[in-house]
Amino acid sequence: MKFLLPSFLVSLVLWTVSAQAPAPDSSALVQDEAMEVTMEDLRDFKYRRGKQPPRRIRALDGMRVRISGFMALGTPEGVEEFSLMSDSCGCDGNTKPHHFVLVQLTDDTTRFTPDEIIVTGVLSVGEEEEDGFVTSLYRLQAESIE
Amino acid sequence: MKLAALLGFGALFLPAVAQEPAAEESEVEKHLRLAREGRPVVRPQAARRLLEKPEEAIPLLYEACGQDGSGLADLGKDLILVLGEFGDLRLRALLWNALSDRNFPWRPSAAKSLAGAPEFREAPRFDSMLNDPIALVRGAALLGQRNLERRESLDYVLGMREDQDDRVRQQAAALAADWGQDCSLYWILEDLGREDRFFALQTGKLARFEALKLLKDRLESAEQYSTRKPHDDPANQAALAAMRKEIETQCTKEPQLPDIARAAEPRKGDVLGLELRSCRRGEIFLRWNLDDTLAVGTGNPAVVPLPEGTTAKLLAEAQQRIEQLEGQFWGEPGCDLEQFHFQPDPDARPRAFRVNKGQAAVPNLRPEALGHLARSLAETLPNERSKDPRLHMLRSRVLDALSILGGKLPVSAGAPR
Repeated sequence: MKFLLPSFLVSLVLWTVSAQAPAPDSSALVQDEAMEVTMEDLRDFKYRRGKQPPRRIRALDGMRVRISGFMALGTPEGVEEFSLMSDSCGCDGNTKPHHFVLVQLTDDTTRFTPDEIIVTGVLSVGEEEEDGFVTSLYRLQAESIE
Repeated sequence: MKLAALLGFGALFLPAVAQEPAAEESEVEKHLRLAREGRPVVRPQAARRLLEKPEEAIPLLYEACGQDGSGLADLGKDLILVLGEFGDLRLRALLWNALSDRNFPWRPSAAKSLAGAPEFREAPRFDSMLNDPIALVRGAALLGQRNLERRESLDYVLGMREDQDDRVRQQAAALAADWGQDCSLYWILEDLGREDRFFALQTGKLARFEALKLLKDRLESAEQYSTRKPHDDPANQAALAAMRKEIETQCTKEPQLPDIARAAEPRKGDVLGLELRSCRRGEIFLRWNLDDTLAVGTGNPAVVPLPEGTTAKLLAEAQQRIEQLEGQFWGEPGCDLEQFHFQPDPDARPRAFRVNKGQAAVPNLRPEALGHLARSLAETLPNERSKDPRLHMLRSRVLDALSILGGKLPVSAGAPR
């Protein structure tokens, strides 16, 4: 079932949730159970390629989390993933792997907003590489975006 | 196929392997391509790989920049950030030329690139950079001073602890402390108590985070403090006391910090905001409060009283202008943005409307309704000379930045339709 957000929230809410998402009434309960995590929590260590992040970060792997941030500047329309950043301006110098969460959408595609958003879903932690480059450290399978 | 629906800048987020490689592309050519066009997270990694093969990379970079350097901007910020590290005279000359061009779109990146591996003969140029109108360039200038061990600049560095930008203040305080001015650590310590926001942007939290990183490099007791807990958490207060004690061993009298460097109470009642960030013109943060005051800057802002009823009138206009808008974002990624913040209900989340300028100028980038709103906002700003750099000729600076960002404003605000 697709959880369509009320129309009065459309300006704040970007996407709807996946086919497995709970009904509206139960979603509040599910969100309450998600652990609050901040982008600063995730950034708060010295990242080095191939070196494991601290234990407190590794412990988040597989956890349902709720995290607020901003869509990366330049997020295209109509794709199934976007980078969640700690600022809205892309002012954070160059992008390091522990500075963003790659949010993956299950059943919908992106529409850019400059507003702050809150994403809930299951976080996975660990370097992913492509063609010899680290492409992400954090990935989040989005269940809801407010 | 959904990817086919990408807008012009969609290539930014394509997987690195999905880029279309040229026939028989060498490894260095591939890294150059990815540093310019790969995913944002791949670009800095690819740029750094070029440093491993300078003999092959430098001729390719010359070619990309062109004889006159006109191709430098097209390299993008991640490549520009590493150019200075090649130690190549021609590349450094191109960076200095770019830095002297106020309209170069990646001035902060060029400055940081030069400052990362400065040469002694360049010291006077790094001195000049300390006065740059752009905070990130001033920050890079401090890095250059540090890397050059240019201690004759200490007095100037001490003065920069009162910079209008908190990142510059922190860097200046850290450098001064490293050059023997241990009392400067109090400047950084103060930022741990910040809780200010600029609408959705948690400026205080970011300042706390950066301050703690600097303190951890300089005070053993800073390890006990956590920005993941509130500042008034007992564990953090204990850590703070330990840090003070550690500083007191080097600095016997705690200095009186200037207002600009003090942590302020979070503001309530800010309903309209204008955020201007430009790699060409610097950054300006403005907030209009229901109590008819204007706050200029982040952290502990300068506060200017406005005529009674000003904010209510602006808010009413903003509500009408916003209704005329289709969407919240115009433009493309780049180094310059103007963002209008709107929070009529302090308990609701703020909304933002953003105009972003890429490398090239785009005529009529800003929607007409926002142009009129910007004109109305600007007309409430003071325009006198001031010793406070945040307030000095404020209206003129805002109008200049707006014209660089989203284009010239309408001559008058006019009535909302």
